[in-house]
Amino acid sequence: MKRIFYMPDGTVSVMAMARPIKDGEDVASIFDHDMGKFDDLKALPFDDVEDDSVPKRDENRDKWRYRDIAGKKELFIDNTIRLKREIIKDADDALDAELAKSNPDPVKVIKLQRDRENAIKLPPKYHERKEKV
Amino acid sequence: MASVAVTYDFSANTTAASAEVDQNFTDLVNYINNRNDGSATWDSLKATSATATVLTINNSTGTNSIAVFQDNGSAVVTIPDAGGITFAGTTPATPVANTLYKQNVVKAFGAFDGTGTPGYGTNGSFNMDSTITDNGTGDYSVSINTNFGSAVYASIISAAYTGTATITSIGTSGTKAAGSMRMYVFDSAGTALDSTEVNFILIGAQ
Repeated sequence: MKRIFYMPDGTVSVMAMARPIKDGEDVASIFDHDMGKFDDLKALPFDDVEDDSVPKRDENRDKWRYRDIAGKKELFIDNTIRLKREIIKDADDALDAELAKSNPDPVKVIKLQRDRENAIKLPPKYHERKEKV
Repeated sequence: MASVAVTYDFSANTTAASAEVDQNFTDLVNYINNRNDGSATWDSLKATSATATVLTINNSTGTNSIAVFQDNGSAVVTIPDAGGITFAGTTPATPVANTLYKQNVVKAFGAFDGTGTPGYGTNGSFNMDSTITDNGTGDYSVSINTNFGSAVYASIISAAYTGTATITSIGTSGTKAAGSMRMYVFDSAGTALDSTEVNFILIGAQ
């Protein structure tokens, strides 16, 4: 079981057991106890869900969002989100493509380098919608 | 307590009539017991042996502390039932070199794999609660079983990564509380990174 906390910005935090569960232990009670230690979690709405209803945690973890469907919150991966690492990769790919040409445009190369530098300066948790690109 | 005269002069290889020894030995045992009844005090205690454990303090099946060391009547070091050492007392403004005080003992630690569902594993934590909260890539919250006295304590955090990225920034979010801490791991491009190994040690006043 995992506890999903619904953050005001649409993201989620996921509390999970960090050790094996002992016989007879009530995991919800353990979650109740531990969430009380976090000022940023204890007042948030949450749901306890089975492990297999949470997406596989991978490089898209920061795209996890929730939405309300018929009064119930649903967790989903928002693929319209473009993460900072993807912005940097796109900048890298564009620069590599220009440099791979037989006659790269020097002005364009400098501009693409500048785009990449600006992408690196973005805050670590920065993301944007792909539609804006 | 009135002084008790021990009338027999014990010395090495003393031989005596059994009745006399029994009588005087009983006097001696009674004397020790009366001096050790919890209300009387010994001026000092010294035990020496080159062949055996010099001092054994056994509280048997009792549940009280095994030993309490006091300074002017106040406990400064306690060995509680079932073991451990508890430090109390006041740390001097200038700490004595190579000395343990209640502040400089490690109060909590943890080590976990930050990919997938983070977990401490066997022997991977001390004084940490049972859960880890995943707030996103490279973003973890942990809670402490026996809290610190305040949100001011030292957190030493390290991370390792088996991929090609270089970890350049590891730290707390600034939302540390007496009973919890949130930490981040970033790579050299300032991007959040799931670390294969996150380690932390917490030291401070409880």
